[in-house]
Amino acid sequence: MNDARVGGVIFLAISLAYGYLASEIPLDFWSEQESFNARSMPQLIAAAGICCALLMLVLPSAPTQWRELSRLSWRQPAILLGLMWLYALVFEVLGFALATFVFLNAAFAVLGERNILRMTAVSLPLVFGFWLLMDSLDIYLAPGDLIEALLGTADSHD
Amino acid sequence: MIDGLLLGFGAVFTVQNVLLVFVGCAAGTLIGMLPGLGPISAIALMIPITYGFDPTSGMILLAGVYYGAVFGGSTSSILINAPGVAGTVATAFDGYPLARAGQPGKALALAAYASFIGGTLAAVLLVLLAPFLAGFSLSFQSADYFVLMVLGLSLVSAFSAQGEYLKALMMTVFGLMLSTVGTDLSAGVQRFTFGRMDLIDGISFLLLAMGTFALSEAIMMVLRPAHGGKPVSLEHASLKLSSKEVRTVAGPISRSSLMGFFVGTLPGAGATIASFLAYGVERNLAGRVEPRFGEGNLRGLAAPEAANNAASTGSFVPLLTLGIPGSGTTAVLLGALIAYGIQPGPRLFVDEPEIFWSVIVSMYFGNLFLLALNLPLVPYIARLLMVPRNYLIPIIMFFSLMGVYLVSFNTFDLHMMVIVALVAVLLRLLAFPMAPLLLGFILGGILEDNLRRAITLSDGSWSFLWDRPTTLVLCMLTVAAFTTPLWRALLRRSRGNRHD
Repeated sequence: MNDARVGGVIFLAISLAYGYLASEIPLDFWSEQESFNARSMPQLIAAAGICCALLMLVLPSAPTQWRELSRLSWRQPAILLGLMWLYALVFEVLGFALATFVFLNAAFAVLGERNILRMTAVSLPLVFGFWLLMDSLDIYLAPGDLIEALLGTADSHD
Repeated sequence: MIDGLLLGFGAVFTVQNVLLVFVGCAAGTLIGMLPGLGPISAIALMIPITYGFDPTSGMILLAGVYYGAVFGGSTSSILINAPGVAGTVATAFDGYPLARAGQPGKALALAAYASFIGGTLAAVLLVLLAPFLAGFSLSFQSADYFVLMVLGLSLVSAFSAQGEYLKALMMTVFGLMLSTVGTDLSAGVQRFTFGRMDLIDGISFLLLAMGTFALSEAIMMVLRPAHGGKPVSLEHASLKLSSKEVRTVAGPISRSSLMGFFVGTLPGAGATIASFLAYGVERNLAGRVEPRFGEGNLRGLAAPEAANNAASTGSFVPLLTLGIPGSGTTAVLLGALIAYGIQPGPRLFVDEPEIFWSVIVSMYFGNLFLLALNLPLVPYIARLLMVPRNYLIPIIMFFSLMGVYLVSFNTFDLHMMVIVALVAVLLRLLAFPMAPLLLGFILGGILEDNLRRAITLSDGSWSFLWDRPTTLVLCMLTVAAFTTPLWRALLRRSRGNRHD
């Protein structure tokens, strides 16, 4: 089975689920009487999705290079995606400056950089340059719960 | 008209105003280059600074910021595939591959030339046709807008590889699905939010654009190291276009400028649709060319750039003549004008001729200064791509994440962006194009609004599709645009069966 057929089956399932959820959108009595309500557009889109998926299953398409895809090394991309997930997770705790500094250096290291001095020479000015720019534009970047707790400034913001 | 233009030139040509255009262009370019901070944010950030000036000088500064931010957005699209605003998405399709092929200088310079010509032609058209076009834009009804948006969606064929039309169509529908997430503003009902507060406002365009373009591109560069493209040397930062290349892009720039201007005059249509339309038209007109569209074709870069700048100028027609903001940016400019104590509308031309004409003249000078300021900087900006890959990729990730965070200040968006990037990488590996997804997402909301209005006005009947000649013609064009690629696919299949 090529990728188009696999895609067709998956998209058919997505469209059916979307169509079902569209029919579950809550409507009051008056909205139900209207010729166009909150369900109308999603139902039209679901119908279009089902048509597309069925056409995908029926019409021809180019074969997939599955072998080439299986040769790809997913280790580094997976770690980078995990790092970004972690960055988002600790951003409010560590604050912009610390979280970004750690994220950047970890990402440099994942991609093969080993010179700590060079990594710091890039990440530190970037973090503080960005913070200064945001500050000059009056965009507030919080120092983070941890720093605020350490400095005892958390209460002053509440 | 000549008197008015002279009045405008007289108002703009002072040392202070010339300096203000210069400062505005520089500040706009810098702010526009940051993902998440497009022309709207740039202008909104600069408005408080303009309160110290008279209205003419204030508008001149804002015009400089506007054009600078549009060009800055194109720069990040071209260099790191990070379109910060919807209007520069189409710029990335060929601009980024061209930069990756070792010609970032040429890509940036061509974007600057195309923007300049698009903006200049549109400023001339604005002077000549503004009163007439104001009437034309008012004659466009919801039904026409709806069909125009569907016609825009039919452009997916322009973004699909040979025989992959259905994949592009599927991604468009997927984009439409995503556009319905959030609160339905007409009824106040939540749709597809699964009870999560974070989804009440829907998915932001920036999140989707950064996830599917910038972040997924960074991951692809790691996954397939050859995908990172050729290393850039100083000679590759050259801005020179050969005379053959100039001849190649001259036609697309002229056509796209005209199209962009007229689309821009329609309130709500704006630079995004103009740039997608221009790209689609040029791709269809070009036929089989090398390099192909999507692989660094010069026409594919010049057309959307000329169109989005011309549309930005075109969107001033309803603002200046009717007081109706045609886009988000002109809505902010309308706010600025009102803050200066000026009410845009049919009386502006009579009551405040100096403002009317100086805005038009300053738009032209904004473009001119932008070209003069940025061309010498292009070789230096292009050197960004000389940064080693193990530093460049994390920096792209950082700017993409921060661009999204700065809009919502919500880390849920960052998590969602990582998921979007992962799905986008998988889809790209299976040759599913990302541009139609964004196109469907961008047009989804406008499509629904206009369909709702059209159906309500026609008492629930679909007869609005053929009641008026304009709608009917647009409908026929749309049907042709959708069915032709499908017909071709069916023909290929029957030929394939015969060969078997």
